[in-house]
Amino acid sequence: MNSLNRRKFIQVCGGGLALATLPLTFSLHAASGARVVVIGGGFAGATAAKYLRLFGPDLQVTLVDPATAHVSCVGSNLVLTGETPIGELTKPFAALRDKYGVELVAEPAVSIDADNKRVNLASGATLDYEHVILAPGIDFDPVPGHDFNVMPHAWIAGAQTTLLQEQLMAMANDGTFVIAIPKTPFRAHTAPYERATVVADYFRRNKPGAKILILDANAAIAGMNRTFTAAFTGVYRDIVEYVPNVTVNAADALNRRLDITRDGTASSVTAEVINLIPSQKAGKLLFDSGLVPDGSKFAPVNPLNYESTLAGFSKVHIIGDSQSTGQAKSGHMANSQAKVCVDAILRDLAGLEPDPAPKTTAAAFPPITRRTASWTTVTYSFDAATMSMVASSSAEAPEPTKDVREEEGPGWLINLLSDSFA
Amino acid sequence: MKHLATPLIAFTLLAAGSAPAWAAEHTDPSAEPPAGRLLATQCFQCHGTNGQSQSEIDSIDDESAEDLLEELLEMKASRKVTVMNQQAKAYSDAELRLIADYLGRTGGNDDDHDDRDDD
Ligand SMILES: Cc1cc2nc3c(=O)[nH]c(=O)nc-3n(C[C@H](O)[C@H](O)[C@H](O)COP(=O)(O)OP(=O)(O)OC[C@H]3O[C@@H](n4cnc5c(N)ncnc54)[C@H](O)[C@@H]3O)c2cc1C
Repeated sequence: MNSLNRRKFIQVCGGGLALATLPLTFSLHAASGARVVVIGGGFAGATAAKYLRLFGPDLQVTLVDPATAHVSCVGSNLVLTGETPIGELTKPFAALRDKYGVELVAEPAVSIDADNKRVNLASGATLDYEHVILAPGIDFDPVPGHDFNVMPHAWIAGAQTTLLQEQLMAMANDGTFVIAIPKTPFRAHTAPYERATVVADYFRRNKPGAKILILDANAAIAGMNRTFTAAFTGVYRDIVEYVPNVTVNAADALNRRLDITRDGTASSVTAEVINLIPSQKAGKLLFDSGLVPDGSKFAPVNPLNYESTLAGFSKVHIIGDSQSTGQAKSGHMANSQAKVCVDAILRDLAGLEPDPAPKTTAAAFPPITRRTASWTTVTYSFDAATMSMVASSSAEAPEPTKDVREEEGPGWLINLLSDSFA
Repeated sequence: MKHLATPLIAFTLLAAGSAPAWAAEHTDPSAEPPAGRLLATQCFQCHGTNGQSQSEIDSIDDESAEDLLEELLEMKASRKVTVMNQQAKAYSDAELRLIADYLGRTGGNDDDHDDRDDD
């Protein structure tokens, strides 16, 4: 199929349906301006598609994602304990089509042809663009022997999350749950430790005698150190054992065993349930499109407009966990970057330079117990001298509280999900 | 309003009666984005798109620019460690004014959402 056919097809399928249900402010005015293609409908891509149409109602915006809904990792640790149904975290892309007139293409993109400003889709079809935003999230570098169906990572939410949930529910009352954490940078530096506190609370109430062993490749807790140190040595000192500087070298699915090195000494660990979180890198699409330099794991971009800094990739933008600006890899941050990128694209289409002083933020409100939660936040400002985003203000809650568990945290998640996906 | 609405949009605004101000303000694709908009969108992760909260977190689309600015400056100066106080510290006074002006200018349409908590 050539690109013209494909575009026609999409307009009939996506645009036609969309018009019927668009809010008045968008209807009729749709789809005459530049085409922007967004690849990946996670926190980064969904927010970008929505805000492109919200602030640029003339634009033709196409969202490419093989799924029909995104399952949010944010909040997914509470799926493991049965507190949150996974359906609450599942956000259909139809909302972006029906409310904002985003055209949907439900198949993977396989590469970008930047010379011809064209996206190659898995079916062989293509999409032409004036700007393209790539937001495919993360991919993994697993150790030898790592079978995700036996030792789930649950680091992309969905079937992996439910699998780990099932394993935890089925675990013996005196079983051991291992969480193995890779070296930074990885998606959500607070989330492995949040997973430990949430599951520890569940064990305390449902499986007395069960233990959690955290094997951390890092020298110390990588996110919210004070909060989680207090939890592991305080309220959970009988349940959680935290071991830093542990490298996992290989996994043995049959025997549920990890071969590890700790402080230069090799040994092995077996456990009933093993959550082995692999080391992470940009989504495959970015490697296949030549957007990640040799020896790097993420894609270099200019943080003023998230355009690739590699030669030959003008108008190719990368946002969210796939890019390498060094900002927190988080859903809140992915949403934040999407807004900066959208603003810069609108300015570019109007012949203007990007905003020279953008800000971005990240936040998390991890539950510590059934009754309390903590929080952290960081804001980044652009530093012209280094052309980078620098953390200019950050904090961690003085202590976990009931209010954050019951109001601020859940209230934040509802608004973050709706600002990104609805 | 600085950015003129296209005839089509003007028509639909009339038809809709209470269409929000921001919709009209953003319709000219060749114009510079309104001042403060990009900074203000960073509030929406927690406070909802266009400051209209869908949860128990406060909406921020229903206050005057002056009130918003006063609150933001108080938060920036506060020694208490809270999410908002910390966020406010990352912005210059001029940036906080841009945000407050944008939200004060574009908000004020309470009728199409329910502001569940106003404390
Ligand atoms: C357990 C856990 C807890 C977390 N908690 C928090 C938290 O409290 N706060 C927070 O802010 N963040 C949190 N995060 C981090 C957050 O989930 C990620 O940072 C965020 O999802 C990154 O967004 P993204 O858009 O870059 O990628 P994703 O959200 O992963 O989205 C990527 C999308 O791209 C699609 N895609 C991939 N390849 C292709 C392709 N070739 N073609 C088309 N589409 C493609 C995928 O289908 C997917 O929908 C947590 C993560 C985990 C694992």
